[in-house]
Amino acid sequence: MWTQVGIVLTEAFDRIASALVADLPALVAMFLVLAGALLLAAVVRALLYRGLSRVGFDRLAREWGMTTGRSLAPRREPSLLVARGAFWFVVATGVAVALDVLGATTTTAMGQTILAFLPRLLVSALILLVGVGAARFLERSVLIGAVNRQIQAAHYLALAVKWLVLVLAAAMALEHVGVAGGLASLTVGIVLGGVMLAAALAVGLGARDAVARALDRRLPPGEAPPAANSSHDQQRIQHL
Amino acid sequence: MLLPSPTAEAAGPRVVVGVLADDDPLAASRAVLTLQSSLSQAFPGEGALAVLLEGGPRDAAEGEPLRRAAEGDPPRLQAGAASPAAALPPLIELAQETKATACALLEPLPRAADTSWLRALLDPVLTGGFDLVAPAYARGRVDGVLGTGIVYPLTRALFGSRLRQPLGAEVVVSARLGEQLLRDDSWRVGGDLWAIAPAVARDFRVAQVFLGPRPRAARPVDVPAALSRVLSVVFREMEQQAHVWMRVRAPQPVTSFGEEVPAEELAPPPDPAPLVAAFALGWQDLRRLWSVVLPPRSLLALQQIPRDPPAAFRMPDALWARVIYDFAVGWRIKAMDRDQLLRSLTPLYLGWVAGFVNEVSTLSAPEVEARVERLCVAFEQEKPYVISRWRWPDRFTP
Repeated sequence: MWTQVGIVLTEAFDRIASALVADLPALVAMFLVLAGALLLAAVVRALLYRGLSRVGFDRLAREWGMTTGRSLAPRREPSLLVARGAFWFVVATGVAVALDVLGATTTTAMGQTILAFLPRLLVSALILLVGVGAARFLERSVLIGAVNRQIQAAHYLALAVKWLVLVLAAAMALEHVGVAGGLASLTVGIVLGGVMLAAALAVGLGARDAVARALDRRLPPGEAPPAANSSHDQQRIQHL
Repeated sequence: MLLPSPTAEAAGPRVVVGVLADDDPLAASRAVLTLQSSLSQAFPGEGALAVLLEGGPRDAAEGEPLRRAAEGDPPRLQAGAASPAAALPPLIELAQETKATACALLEPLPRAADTSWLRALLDPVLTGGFDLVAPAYARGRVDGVLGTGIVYPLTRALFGSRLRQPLGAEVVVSARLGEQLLRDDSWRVGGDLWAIAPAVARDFRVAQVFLGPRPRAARPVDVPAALSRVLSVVFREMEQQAHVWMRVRAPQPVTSFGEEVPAEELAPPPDPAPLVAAFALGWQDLRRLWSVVLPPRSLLALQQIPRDPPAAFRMPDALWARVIYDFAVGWRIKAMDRDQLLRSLTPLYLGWVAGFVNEVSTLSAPEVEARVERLCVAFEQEKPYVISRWRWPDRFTP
């Protein structure tokens, strides 16, 4: 019996050895691809970081409101964040290629799926990034404009604009990446409709007097009610 | 190419005066014709040319910079930009082309029939050897507060120039300064061109002429837009002339012509309450943005200013000077979008105006000037602060 066991074990080890011998080149190739991807990712990160720093990407990001501009600590620089993103993108691509190189049916399919998914993921990330920048820029514009027009709810207006743009950008990104595309569009529609309905109700129920006053101010001089003293006072100051 | 004016002699006019065409082109045309007549009376036989500066595209007038629209109309010059201040370069080019000794940029204001004001304005350049003359009008206590509160103290502290109204759209420029300005490519960057800062920064001879009350009150302006436009011009010059103003230590007197007379003020002083309310709302909603450019010390000082009662509101001069300097540094390093940054200054500016109104409403004209002098001294005393922040803008922890 022990002879039989020995034969079975020998055959099994032979099969494993032959399988290893057959798959070893693919394994070596996979590890080479992974190592190359890591190396390439590091190079891309370094080049991208230096390049973006040189073209003033951090300043542009600060202007767009993506960063506060309060600190120039390296870990918070947007150029480093983008460089890190590029690093992981190259690493993920390397993993996908490595899985493909391995040659097994399952890993090849997985690698190709990842490869097909990555470009869409990248574009979605860009959409989200631009959306965040635009949201913050518009938030500031609305906030400053509303405060300068003496609107008491300026903060809420700015928040509403910011989240509207953020939700829109997120929905676009999700739709592009193919995750719950229909659901994202539906969500945006519901949110927008809800905001409009809420605004209409708020104006209709709570701000009738304010709207009436605003409309009165826009009437021709003959039809307008007498202006408040404060308005006269403001106009009496010649700024230029 | 150049149509001679009826009064221009064969050798060309000695003076070229451009009048900005504002919202009422017909009135501006009339102002130019009246001015041409006044120039003929003021400078008989010397040759003087008055032109209407229009904002049309310059390409359309290629090869014909100066044209007469129809018989009886004044000569017109295409300024090539919507902004009135941008009309200065084509006017200087015309003056150089005609070899004029001086050129002047004026607003289409109704002028006195007496032409002595023209001689008073142009003689310092024509015969006095000055390179730049800025007219100064008698203004009320709360007239031109943007100039009084920011531009005058700032330019005086930076460049050492005591020009009382450095913000005016009107200016007289000598041929020498005109040539220098046209050679300076950096001066033409941007839409609004400010000739005063380059002149005082380069030691050209500068004078001011007191012309009495302004013939027409300035029109009401959108304060945030005006702040953004004016301060972007001033801060741009501050950036371009940094190597000059960092070496200027004390203000120098400016030669003045004419008598400075106070303006008559019949209206009661404005109510500071809406201005204080604007400041309070700004503090409530914009302090997060201000914290990007203002250090904690300034924010704390702003927070501690009592808002109630509005008549007691005061903004300390040193704090106001530091706020303006911090915004200048923020504009320079582009801490955020520049237009947004300057517009966000509006509530702070209105707060300062409220304090100024409270302080000067009961003062006489000399006392108001003494108050403005104290403000200027504060700007000068805080100058080391702006030099330090300008050189090392990131050396503060918000």
